Amino acid sequence: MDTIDKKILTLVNRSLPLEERPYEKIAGSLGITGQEVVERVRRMHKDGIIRRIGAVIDPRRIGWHSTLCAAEIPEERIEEYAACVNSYPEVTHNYVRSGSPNCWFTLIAPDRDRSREIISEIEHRLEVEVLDLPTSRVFKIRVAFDIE
Amino acid sequence: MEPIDEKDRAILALAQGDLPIDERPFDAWACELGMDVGELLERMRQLKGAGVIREVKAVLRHHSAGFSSGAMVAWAVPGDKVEEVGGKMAGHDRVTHCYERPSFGKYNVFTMIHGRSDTEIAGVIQEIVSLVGIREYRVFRSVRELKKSSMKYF
Repeated sequence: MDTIDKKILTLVNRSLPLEERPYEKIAGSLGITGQEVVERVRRMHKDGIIRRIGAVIDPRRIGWHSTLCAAEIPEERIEEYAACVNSYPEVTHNYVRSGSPNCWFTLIAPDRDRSREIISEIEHRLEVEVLDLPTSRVFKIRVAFDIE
Repeated sequence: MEPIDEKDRAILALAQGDLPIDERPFDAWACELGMDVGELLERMRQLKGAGVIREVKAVLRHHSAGFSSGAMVAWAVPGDKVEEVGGKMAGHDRVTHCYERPSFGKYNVFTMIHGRSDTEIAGVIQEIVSLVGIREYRVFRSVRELKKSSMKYF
């Protein structure tokens, strides 16, 4: 990635203008053409630096329920745990972390009941306790960085 | 804003997926929806104004973008300090997410921190400690990603 790639990445990671030619707008601030921005974005998408371009929807605003879950899983059962938990499309993120509990996943479901149902299914299938840690206040959600 | 109607639902169903990478990327969605691109963009602006769409943007793989380290830190914040402390933590540039989660014992405020190295993250944690004066916390570093996906709501 060169300096222009990094500048483009910083801008498109922040926001894509809701205009007919959004890349032209971005190009204007960088002194290159819209076509060049498109080509660079395409390449960075192909290379996997950009995972997707699209809307990020706030589940709460459409009445959905989201929560963070945690479980203590022994190393030799991580594969089994991942296969079980990842099989739910409602599970969007799943990480092994240092510390205890060591496994953490996020769950987004149409309502609280479905969320509880999935958690209890996972507990039964794996025979482990799953902590349900819903949010009561949101102070910040911002996944944008200055790429340097 | 008005409640979400059928047209909005159809827009969100497309928008939760992948926007083509073209000079006029919204044309393809407008065409698929049988909608004028101007109307599509106007409705998307309204959905964004109402907070239903947080942002239309490129979602990065943090690792490839140079942010190879990530940690979740759970802080033990006295109940009457949560609002103040949460607000201050949220103001730190390296904190991407900050929530109150009351069900994890005394560790009730969660932050996600991203950085270029574990050392940078350790530095950020110390900055936050000085900033808010909370000394009891637990660090859960990302060791392995098992799944990362975008939800399909519609």
